[in-house]
Parts: sequence; structure tokens; C-alpha cells
Amino acid sequence: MMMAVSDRFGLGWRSRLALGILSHLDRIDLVEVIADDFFRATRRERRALRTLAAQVPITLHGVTLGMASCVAVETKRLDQMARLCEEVKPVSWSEHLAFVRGGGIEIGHLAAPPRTAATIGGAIANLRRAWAVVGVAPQVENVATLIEPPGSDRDEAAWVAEIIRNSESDLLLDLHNLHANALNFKFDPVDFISRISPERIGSIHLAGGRWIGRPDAQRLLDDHLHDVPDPVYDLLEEVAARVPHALTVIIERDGNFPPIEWLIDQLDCARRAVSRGRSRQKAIAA
Amino acid sequence: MSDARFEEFLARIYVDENARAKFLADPRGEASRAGLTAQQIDDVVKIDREGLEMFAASLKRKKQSHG
Amino acid sequence: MNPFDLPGPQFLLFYIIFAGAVIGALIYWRRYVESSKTPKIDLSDPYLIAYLRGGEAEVLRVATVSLIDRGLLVAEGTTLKRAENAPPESARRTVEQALLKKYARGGEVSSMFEDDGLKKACQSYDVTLRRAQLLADENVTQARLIRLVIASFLLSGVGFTKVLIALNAGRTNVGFLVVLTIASLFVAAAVSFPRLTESGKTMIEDVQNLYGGLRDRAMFLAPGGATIEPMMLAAAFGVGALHGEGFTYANRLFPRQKGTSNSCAAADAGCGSSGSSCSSGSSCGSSCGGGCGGGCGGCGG
Repeated sequence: MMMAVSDRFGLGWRSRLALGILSHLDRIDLVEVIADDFFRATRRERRALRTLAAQVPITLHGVTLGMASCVAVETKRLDQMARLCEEVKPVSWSEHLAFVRGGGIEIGHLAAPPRTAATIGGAIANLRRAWAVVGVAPQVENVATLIEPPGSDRDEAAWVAEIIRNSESDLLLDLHNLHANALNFKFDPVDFISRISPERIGSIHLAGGRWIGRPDAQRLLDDHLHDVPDPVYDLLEEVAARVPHALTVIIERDGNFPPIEWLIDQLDCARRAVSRGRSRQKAIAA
Repeated sequence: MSDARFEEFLARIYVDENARAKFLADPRGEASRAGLTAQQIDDVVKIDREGLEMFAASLKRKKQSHG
Repeated sequence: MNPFDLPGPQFLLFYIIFAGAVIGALIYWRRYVESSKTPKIDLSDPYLIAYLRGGEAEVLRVATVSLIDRGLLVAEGTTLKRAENAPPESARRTVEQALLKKYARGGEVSSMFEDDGLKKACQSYDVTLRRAQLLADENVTQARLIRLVIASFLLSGVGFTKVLIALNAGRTNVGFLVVLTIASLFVAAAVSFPRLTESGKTMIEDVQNLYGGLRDRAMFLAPGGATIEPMMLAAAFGVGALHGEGFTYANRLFPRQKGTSNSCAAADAGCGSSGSSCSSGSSCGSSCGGGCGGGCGGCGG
């Protein structure tokens, strides 16, 4: 799988956006495909994915492996990812620092595990196995959470940094997840960024969300149904000011779709934010 | 093993409305009956209840929207 | 055992099986050789996709619907006429300009399929697709010819050898074998030169898969030319796929006929999968709750 030599900007592949994406490949550098949609796909559907990969670079994004668990990821799930990577030859693949099941109970979404030495160890072991089975280490994404994970004995930055430091996996830094967690649990997102080694931030996700809950106890939900808010672009600029290598930036939009031009404009906002960050980096170096 | 049991316990109270209701009514008792360690029991007794309800509601909405 | 020693009826049975195997091998060999490519083409060009699926006729159907949808052509019954405020330069694409020019004073819609000027306006798509070897170019055609010659040699060699043996033995009831041999040669020729290469056939299926979401939303695609979604739906699946009140003229102008490319069952191509890039075969009920091509609905929280 290839390392980017220049910053790349892309969109999550959604069937609703297919024509819009394929009509704007001059402004979209890559697309991110949800890998799990293809684990049990027919031969024809996987072939269509290969055809898509021939038109635009793709990266695969898994959602059901449950990497950050004390329980080992099932080999058959890793095998599915390995087979898909072999067929489609993505530029990279990624998963989440989350658990998604426990004792046979499927949670149905990504859940933040307790931030403990045990889940750090579990995540590192799972990432190592994933690397061995698939052949390439995945990037791993920080997740948004509406609940402060019970049983945690350290903060999110320390937990994520420890996993990244002790594995071959780089961080897919989801800035809206960071933004939401920072607002919901009252910490400084820039401080989080500063505690992750810049060399280990490989990719960026951008998304939007909405406030939910009682008026006096609202929390920001990362729902992927809204535009990327300005504070997230500010965080992107912060990251770009620190990271020495090329970044891959993906905007995730799962519904409530605006016209494609609106999403392309948001990509351009991301480009400008990265450019501002790079300029700051050069100014500091000068 | 105890960590896996803890994850299972969390998964259950996240997705199972009845289990969650029982837990919220008697957190120490339910955690103890689930075989959690003393530390884990102390941890879940202090659980972020607001967040738990929100997350559970979010999971339910997601499940309903996907059929 | 020498099959040429078989008595008449048994040899006929042998020849049928033999011819089936040769023709089957011919098809398999062609498909194997012609399916290696996944070229990069502009999958967002409805006319290119339409041409791949059904040639000039499909491009003209899609272009006609596009022009009507944008108010540049007017349909009355089975006639078309350029709209009052629509000079040829209203449209950007060559084929659209050619249609506007042809119907400047009106005419029957069926006349477009015999118009040399309109065929010429579609030529660039042919060139692009042959270069990508999605349609058979010279090299592909030559390779097909060579395979046909080999197969014909085998089919005629075996068939006519037996005919000669029978005639030498004084038997004259060889008519059926002669007919069978000639028929097998015709069948071999018929299966050797499909318009699409195997890559072309799979490209159509893949396009239909990638744009399956359009077909799923066919009822909700709005007329009026604001987006090209209806045109791409028509290009990928045929004008018959256009539903909704705004497109009833499409099926009136181009009624579905058996064997035409006016519907999903395009010549040389299947309909592909159920349409969406994540069909019922995959577990879209993932733990993340992600829909079919619908993302994970938020990463946590």
C-alpha cells in the first residue's frame, strides 16, 4: 500500500453520492469505502468495487472488527478484510479503537472501551494480528463517545497515544470525534493533538453532528449527517501545522446529502485549512 | 477474563433495555451478580448515567433505522 | 477407440458433443483473454455509458430525453421539434447539437436511427471505447478471427472427414451430418464476434452496480435538467428505467421492444446485480449499523 506524497482529499463512498463523486474526480483524490459492506458481497459487487478502484484510489474502512477490546478479534473477520484488501488493493485500510461486541452481544455501533492497560494491551495485540493476517497495518481511528467509558484510569489522549506508540498502526485522527468528545467531556482538543506524536498521524476524518439531550445536559452527537463545523477545520489547521508528512483527509457524510458541489466546497475548505497549517509550519521553521 | 466479562456487561446494559433498567435500579447488585471484580463494581456504580441513556437511545435509533 | 469408426447415429451424437465442446472452448477462451482489463474511463459521461451499453441508438435515446428534459426539444406524439428558444449551440455536446439541428423543423423520432449525421456525432464514443478495449478493436477482432479459424478447422475437419469416410464406404445418408457441420460453423461464427469484449460486458454490469442507488431512487429523480442523474439512470439501465410523471414521454417515444437496448436487458450485457453497491448478499447490518453504502452513521457516540 502506498504512502501519499502530497496531501490528499476525499469523500466517503456512498451509493447516493456515486454519480457526484465520479463526476468530480478532478477535485476528489480518493474515496473511502466501508469494508464491511463488501465482506459478504457477491462476486459481481466486489468486481464493481475493483472497477471503482481503477477509476480512483480507494481506502477501506472497517467498522466491525472491534480492535480495542481485551478479546481477540475473530480470525474469520480478519480473513474477510484480508481477502477484500487482496482483491481490491486499496491504498490503505483502517479500523476503530472501539469495541463492538461483548460475550456474543452485538452492540450495533462503535463503543469506547474502558481506557485501561488491559484495553491498551488488547488493542496492541489485535492490531499486531491484523497486520499479520492482512499484510499491512491498519490505521486506527479515535471514536466519539456519548458516555464516559466506565472503568477508565487515564484520559483519552494518554490511552490513544500509548496504543499508537506501541503498535505499527498510525492514527486516523477523526477531528469531529475529537471535537465532540472535547465538548462533551470538557478537555482541550489541541492539547490532545499535542500529545500524539505528529509522525504517527496518518489520516484525518472530518464530519458533522448535532446536539442531543435535555437543554441543560446536551451532548454533541457525531452523526455524519451535517456539515463540518468551523472548529473542526481549525483543528485540521492545527494538525497540518504539526504533521511533517502528507495527510489524507476524508469527509464522511452518511445522509441528509447536500448537492455534491456543497461537499466539494467543504473539501476545498479542508484544503485551505491544511494550507494554512502548512504555512504556519514553514513560518516556524524559517 | 474479568476484562472480557466487563465488556460483556457493558454491551448488555448498552443494548438491553431490561438489563439497563435493572442495573440502574441496583447497580452494585447487578454488577455483582454479573461476576465483576470489586474494582469493576465500584467503577460501574459511578457510571455516567446521562451518557449511558443517551448512548442507549442512540443505539436504539440506529437499530430502528436499519430495520 | 476411433470415433470415425462409429456408426452413423452414434457419430452424430459424438459430433454434437464434440461441436459443443469446441464452441464452448471458443467462448471460454474469448472470455478469458478479453477480461483481463479494467480500464479507466469517464464513468460520469452518460453518453459514453449509453454507447457502451447499446451503441448509437442508446446514445440518441438518452440525448433525446436529456434535451426534452431541459426544454430544448419538444415531443408531440411521436414527433420531435426543436424548442423555439433553443438554437443548436444551446447544447454543449456534439450529439445534442446534431439532434437539435436535425429536428429544427420537426420530424419523426424514428428517423434519428437512420441519420448518418447523428451516427457520426457518436463516433468519438466508439473510438474511446475501442481504445479501452471495451468494444472490440482491430487487435481483438484479429485474435477472435484466429480462434474462429482454429475452431472451424476442428469442426469442419472432423465433420467432413466422416462424410468422406461414409461416402467412400458407399453410404450416402450423410445429409444430416453435412447440415450439422455447417450449422456448427455458423454457431461458432455467431459466438465469436460479440460487439462488446468481456471487459466491456463486465464494465456495464459494474456501472449498473455502482449506479444501483440511482435505480433505487428512480421514482424520486426530478425532471427539469437540474442534475444529470436521470440521464445517467437512462444511460446505465435504459430509458425504460425512468419512472415518475416527469418522464412518461420517454417510454412513449421509445417503447420497449424485445431484443432492443431500451431496458436493463441490454444487448450483450446482463442487468448486473440487484443494483446497489451493497446487495442483499452482504451484511449491511454491521455492528456499526452501517447501511448498504450508507456509511457507519457516525463513528461512536
